[in-house]
Amino acid sequence: MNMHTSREEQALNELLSNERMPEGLAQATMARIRAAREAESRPAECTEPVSANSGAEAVAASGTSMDKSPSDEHADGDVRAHTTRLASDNVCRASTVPAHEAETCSPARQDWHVLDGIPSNASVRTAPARKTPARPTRRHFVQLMAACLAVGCAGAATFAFARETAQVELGEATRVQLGLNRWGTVVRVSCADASLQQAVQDLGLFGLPYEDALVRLMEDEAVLSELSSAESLLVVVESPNQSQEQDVLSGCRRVAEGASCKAMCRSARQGTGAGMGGGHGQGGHGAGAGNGRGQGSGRGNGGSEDAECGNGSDVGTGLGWATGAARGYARNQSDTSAD
Amino acid sequence: MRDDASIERAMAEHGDAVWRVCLMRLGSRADAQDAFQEVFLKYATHDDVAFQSAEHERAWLLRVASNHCVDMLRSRSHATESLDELREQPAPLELAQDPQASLWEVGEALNRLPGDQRQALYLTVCEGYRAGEVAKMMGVPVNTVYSWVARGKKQLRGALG
Repeated sequence: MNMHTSREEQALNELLSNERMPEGLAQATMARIRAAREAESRPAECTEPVSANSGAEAVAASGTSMDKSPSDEHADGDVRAHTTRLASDNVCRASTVPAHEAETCSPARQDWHVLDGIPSNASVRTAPARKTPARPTRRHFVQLMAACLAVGCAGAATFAFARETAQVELGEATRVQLGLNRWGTVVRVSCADASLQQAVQDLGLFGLPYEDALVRLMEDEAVLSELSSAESLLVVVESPNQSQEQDVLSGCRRVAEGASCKAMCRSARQGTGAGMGGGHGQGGHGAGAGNGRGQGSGRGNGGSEDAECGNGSDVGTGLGWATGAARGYARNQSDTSAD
Repeated sequence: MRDDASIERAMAEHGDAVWRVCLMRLGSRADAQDAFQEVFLKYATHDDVAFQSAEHERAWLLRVASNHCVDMLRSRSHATESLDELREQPAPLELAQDPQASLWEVGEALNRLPGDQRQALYLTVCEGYRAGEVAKMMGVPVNTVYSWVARGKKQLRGALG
């Protein structure tokens, strides 16, 4: 490796060893510097336009500062060529500057700042005159696009997370309602009762998987006593997406099996057909329609199933006469069976 | 402004190095001559800098040369293309003499390198500056200098067979 490196370095050094600054360039540079110096020492207003060739003449006239070899004759052309750009900051050129502008132009002495003797990039670089604003580079464009994409992805993810696709309602008359997103995470918790609000809030259900949220709700004595006085809890799952509804329903049943209280899990779709489902959902709707006997029957059936838990009196406290009818029906049924 | 004697001395001592930096970066001899004059004009005008040593003075001149070359390339690229695009199209290096047969391939390899890589290679290999110093002079990250130099050496190695 070292051998290669030294060979390369040698080759490069050898190649560049003959590369020296062109003859005449030093003289041209000195001429340009002198012209700049003269322009600087002159008063600020230019009263007399300076010819572009004066630098070359100055070099020809001086000819002493740098030794000029006999072979430098061809370099005079270079000298003239370079001095046509004489101190562009300081010299008013007759050929390019109109007379009225030449009157007012002044030497633009650049104010350079120095840090530790070595000028910083910003200080030494003279800003090129820009006629048009700089185009943004490709890199800037790519960075901008990447930023837009990231913001868009973040927005879409937030929207998808927060979008509610299923609901789980607990308790009679929907005392607690959990909103779930498509991943089964709780994104909304609402309570019908102000008394429950604080207790549910303390459970910290937001962001939890629905199964964990149900476990917390069912294991919390304070919440459970509010939701169900009979240690039996009605859980209704509702979702426009049937497959998600089934998933959530089966998850609820798993949780209910392991819970200390008895819980019944149902889909909102099943409620209209079966008497048991009707016990929760149909009471409120059907009561207005005047179908008291039918509702009573639904309640009664629900009550009789709850009776397996040891208490059949927890049905719809807010349902008025229909609830009373259901109780009566249930009582009649139990009396009949006792007989 | 500095006096003529100090300018001529600086030109005699560091002129070749400044010239090579300008040439390596710009490729064209005419452009390099413009840049060379600008660098020493700045040196003459910038008389408030007290150099602590000849090496300090040389580093200052090379840095000014590097910055001025970047400015020239940038002002040229404003009309047509970005600096990144310009960097991908290296300007052919116009050496004073055609290289010897043995070095012809090396010259060609140098031609294929972008100007900033040529400059970094020259400053590290020929001028003996460390990567950190070159990075400071050229205003680029140190790792960039390392990769430029490694790439340049690889090209030269390939050219040498």
